[in-house]
Amino acid sequence: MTYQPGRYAKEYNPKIHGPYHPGRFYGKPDTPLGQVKLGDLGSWFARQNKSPSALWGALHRGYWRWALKNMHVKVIGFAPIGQAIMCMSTYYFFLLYSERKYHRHCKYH
Amino acid sequence: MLSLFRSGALRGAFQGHGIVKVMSAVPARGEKTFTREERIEQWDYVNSVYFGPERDMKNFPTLVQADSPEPVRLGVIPARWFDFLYPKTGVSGPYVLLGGFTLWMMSKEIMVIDHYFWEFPSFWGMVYILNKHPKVGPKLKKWLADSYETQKNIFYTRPLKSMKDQEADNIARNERLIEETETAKHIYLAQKEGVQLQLEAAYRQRLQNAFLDVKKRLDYEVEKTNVRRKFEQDHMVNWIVSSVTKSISPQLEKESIKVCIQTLKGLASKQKVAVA
Repeated sequence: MTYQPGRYAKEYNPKIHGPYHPGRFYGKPDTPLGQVKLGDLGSWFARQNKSPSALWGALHRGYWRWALKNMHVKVIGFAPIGQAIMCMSTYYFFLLYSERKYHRHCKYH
Repeated sequence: MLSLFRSGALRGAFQGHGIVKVMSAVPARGEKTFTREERIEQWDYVNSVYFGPERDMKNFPTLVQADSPEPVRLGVIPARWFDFLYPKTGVSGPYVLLGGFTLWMMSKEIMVIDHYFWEFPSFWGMVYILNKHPKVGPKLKKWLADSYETQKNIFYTRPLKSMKDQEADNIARNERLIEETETAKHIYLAQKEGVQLQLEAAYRQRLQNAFLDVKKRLDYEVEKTNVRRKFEQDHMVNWIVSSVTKSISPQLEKESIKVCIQTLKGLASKQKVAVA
């Protein structure tokens, strides 16, 4: 599935798929990652489209799927905000890692 | 950045992508204003495209807005991650994984205990306390739910209800009109009957007039005949009497008196015999 900025996915057909939702995958479905056996993981990865546009599209789909289930609900709780905060802390953890490494107490672990 | 806000380019990210609304069917900032018929036509067209016979409802069902976010454990971690690990590691597996991972990070000093570190437990501690505090967490949840209800009432329920009421009024008014046109039929029949009664009355009046006129004429004829006959009779009697009177001569008078006397005598003798 190729991602074109500002355009619907190429496989999207309103007559079959109904109203467009950016969190849906309109291409040929593969086995979900959660159901793949450990042995088939390599071939599963080999089958995926790993072009930059496809990765970008997958990122967007992931965001919209998460947003549909967590953000765009009738009454929002703290959980999605907390998840966003956790993501940001992880990001900053990696961002500041080299600086924080300097404050280590022990030389050998 | 500000211009992005002003132009509404980021509105989708903040307000949702309109998954539950069919915003893609209605141009939001068009110059053209649509009439009701055009809107209905457009709605029908979009419906025919999205929900036609080719629609794959099994794999791509209509999306529904959820009531609340998906269930989580430990405040932020999706419960389905725990469900995913359950058959492999049991109930405590994910918790052990999480705790072990944290301990490993701290023991290897990947997670360094520096001045940044204390932000993490203090922030999440505050979140936990505010969430559980009876004056904050439950109140905030209630306020959110109430404000959602208010917004829904203002933007969805009330306009829809008012439109429905309006259309119900329209329908009632039109039904009343239909009933009134039905009563017009009865009014027409009643008027027709009235006119027929008037015609009947006029007809009878004329019959009466004709009858009276004929009777008058016949009465006149009868009267005329009677008068003529009476006159003729009188005239004839007068004529006969005068002629008879004229025809009586003295001679004839004498003879007649004589005859009369003789007759009287004869009668007298007969009377005597009868008495004797």
